[in-house]
Amino acid sequence: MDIVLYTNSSEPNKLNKTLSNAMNFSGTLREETSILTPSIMLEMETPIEFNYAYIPQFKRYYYITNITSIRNNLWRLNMKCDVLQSYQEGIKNLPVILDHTQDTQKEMYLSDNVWKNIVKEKTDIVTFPNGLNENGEFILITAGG
Amino acid sequence: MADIINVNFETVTQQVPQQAYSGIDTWTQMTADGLTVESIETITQVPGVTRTLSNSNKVIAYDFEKTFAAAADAAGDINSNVQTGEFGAGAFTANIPSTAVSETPELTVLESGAKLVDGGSTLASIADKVSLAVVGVSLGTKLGKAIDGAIYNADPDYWDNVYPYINPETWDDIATSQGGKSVIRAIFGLQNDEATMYVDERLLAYQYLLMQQQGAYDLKYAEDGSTIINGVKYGCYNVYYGNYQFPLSSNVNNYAQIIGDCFIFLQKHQLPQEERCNYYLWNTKPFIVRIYNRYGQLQSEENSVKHTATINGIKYDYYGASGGQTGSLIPNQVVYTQTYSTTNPNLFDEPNVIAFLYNVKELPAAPGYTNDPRADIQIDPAQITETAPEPVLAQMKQLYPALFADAAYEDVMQPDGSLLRYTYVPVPFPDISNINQPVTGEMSQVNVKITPDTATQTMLQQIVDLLTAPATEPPPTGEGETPPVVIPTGSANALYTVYNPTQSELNSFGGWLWSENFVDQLLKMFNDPMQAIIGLHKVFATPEISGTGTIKVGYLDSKVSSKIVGNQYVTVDCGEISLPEYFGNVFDYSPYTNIDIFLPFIGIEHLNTGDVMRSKIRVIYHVDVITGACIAEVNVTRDLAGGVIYTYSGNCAVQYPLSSGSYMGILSSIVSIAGGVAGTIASGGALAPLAIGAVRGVSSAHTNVERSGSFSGNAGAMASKIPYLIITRPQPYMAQNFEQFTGYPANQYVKLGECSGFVQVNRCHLDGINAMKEELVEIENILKEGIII
Repeated sequence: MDIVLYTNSSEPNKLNKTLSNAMNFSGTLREETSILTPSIMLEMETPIEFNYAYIPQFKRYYYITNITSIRNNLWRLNMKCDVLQSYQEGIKNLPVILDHTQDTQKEMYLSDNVWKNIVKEKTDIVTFPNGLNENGEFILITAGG
Repeated sequence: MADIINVNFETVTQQVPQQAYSGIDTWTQMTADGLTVESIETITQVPGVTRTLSNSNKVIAYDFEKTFAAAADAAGDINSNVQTGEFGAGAFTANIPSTAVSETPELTVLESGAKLVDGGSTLASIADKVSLAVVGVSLGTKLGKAIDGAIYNADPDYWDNVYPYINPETWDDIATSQGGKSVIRAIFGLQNDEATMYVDERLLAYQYLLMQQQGAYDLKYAEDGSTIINGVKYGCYNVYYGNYQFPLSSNVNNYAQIIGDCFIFLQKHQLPQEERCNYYLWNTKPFIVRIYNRYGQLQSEENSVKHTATINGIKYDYYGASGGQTGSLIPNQVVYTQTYSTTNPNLFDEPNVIAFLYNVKELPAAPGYTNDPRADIQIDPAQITETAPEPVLAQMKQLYPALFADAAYEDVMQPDGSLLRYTYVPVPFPDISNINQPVTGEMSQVNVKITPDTATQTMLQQIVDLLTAPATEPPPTGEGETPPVVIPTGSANALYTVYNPTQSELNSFGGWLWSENFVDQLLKMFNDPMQAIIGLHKVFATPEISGTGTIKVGYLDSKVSSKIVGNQYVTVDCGEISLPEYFGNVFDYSPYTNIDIFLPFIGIEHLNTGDVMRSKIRVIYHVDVITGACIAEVNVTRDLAGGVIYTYSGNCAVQYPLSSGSYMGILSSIVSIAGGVAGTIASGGALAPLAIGAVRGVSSAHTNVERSGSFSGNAGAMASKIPYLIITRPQPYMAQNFEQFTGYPANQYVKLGECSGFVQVNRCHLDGINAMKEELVEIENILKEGIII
């Protein structure tokens, strides 16, 4: 079994993570472990700099959620599946109805709680070009004539 | 009721000849040519055809109306108008959208297809929403100025806040509004050249006036630079409006040290009667100062004077000379001042020789504007004597015809059928790396377009993006019109007469009524003329006059002349205003923006923001001059639809008492209105929301406050007679870059891979992902919380 340890500098909800500092390990899985939340023991000097992993056999990417020191140079890594990175291609192909978007398909005229304004208001007066007669005209109505 | 049919042009040209115009050869030709100027003229020459045109965003809609003679319906079909064959009786209206483009060089093209002034037609692309910033920098460079980012230091929206106010009266002819900002129509793609932009030639005049107002042609500061004269390079030294300290003080850094221990500085003085440039020279050795003019002619000569100064306890001897040159300093004037040592009369050979060049190279006062060295044409403000755009344009054409070379024109059909020619001139494309704050780029006045094979892909891509990127989705158009208002006609003018006397005529009439002439009194007593005076009031609309005559009461003639009102009803058009969006987004609408309208003799009424935003609003009053009753129509036109969507009634007459009875009648009507309102407030009855000052809907998020009660007649006369809008807008407070954290509202069906940045999903189907159920649930939850792509 192979495992690749990484340093992940992206936030959890980023679809395509930025991974660096890859280090490969090979070994044998000696005890049972979950595919979704595996717990792997590694013999290495220190895994402190790593926070991310990929297990090709499981075809999944994982966050390293905890590192336990068993004894000198023997570490237990507890991991949890990163579904976004593991299934990013399938996720990109998903047809969805967007709720909010940073750029694509944004609608500036859609009412939403995201719009914020302060309580102060600004009042403008726009006058029409003309109006009624300012001074008025006398109207005298007489019978006959 | 006439049958109304909306048919296209082809249908008209096919069906109309079968009715009453068969045999007209031109119909066949029109069908082949499509909608052209000639075909429009032909149609309207057919007897009985009337043509109405409407122009919206330069898309001309033509309506042809023709009443046909009655004929039998084809095959008994009542609505045989839509069938081939004979038309039924009545009239039809054909709505013909004129979006066809003619490729015949002789014909004018509509909407797209400008023509070069020197002949030949060529299709073009129209960009209707080019920002003022892009246009301003382009035109500034066209006029010989290099514009840099300094113009945005004080105001990031420099062009938007300056351009529309150059000549507000004519600005609407040049620009349109988009999201509360002015945008300009520009042409690209003439002769397949997408790298050259053409804008309305009138903007050249606006640009010149703008730059003049902004001080781009004023000269204030100086800069230094070097000059080579007769093969010798001279240094030029900074001239600043400031005080310099003496060289042997603690602040020696303010000086330009020439050679060795010699110091020099120049100082310009602006005195009441003269400009003066002073020079101050110091050296540790004696020297002679010779002053030369720009032509190398010796003007004066003087010896330096010995000075002594003690600094930090050390005594220094130095020699100084000072002097100056008076008279107006001409830009770029070169003044030679040479000094040389008394020990060696040779100029420029000794270390003690000082030669400096006083070069006043002056810069414009306005930051951000400099003269573009690549420009062949620099406007001389002294030659442009006009101050309005049109005359300035005429002067520029006369003085600088090269600016208008390679122009293109487009003839646009107007609503009255005439053609209006718009002329466009090529302008240099700016550097739009920062699209909101462009600056003068690679292209110049003489080279208005980039050479595609030498331009960077970024520049070309920016141009393409500018051409293709839509500013916003065009708002959905509406349809239909409200029925026209028909003012009733006819009157009982045999039974009464309506006069329109002036103040003096009225006074004369009153004098006749109450004259002391006994005979007159008898006649009046027997005839009781007061009973024949039906009413006297003042109405605030000018009545239609049918003639003049003398005021007659019954059959008694007062001999007082007066105008005679001919029409009981009069219409007053208060004009039209445009209400464009201010923010270009949701903030322009309710509940954020509220719009009320003040109507004379009616009061302040609330308008639905969605009804009137992005529209032209026209107020028309119809007044009954006999009773003073008035009705105000608020006509809203947006896109292709419009009509009266608000009407309010009031009374614009001020009654005058003629007897005690009529006076009491006036008073009681006023009191009853006020009393009714007061009573309603007290009782909190059904009419409470209409009461003055009442607050309606207090439980709603946005309280709708009544700004006025109704006031008609006597009260309304004391208020304004001109309608106006009261627009209350919010002040948005969106966090910077909020879209990266919360995103804009969307509600669109899209594939996630097409999105970028922060995305939050409302609904999705997780098809095609081979994951465990728990993982699928987690994926859906994360998508609904928001992810970053």
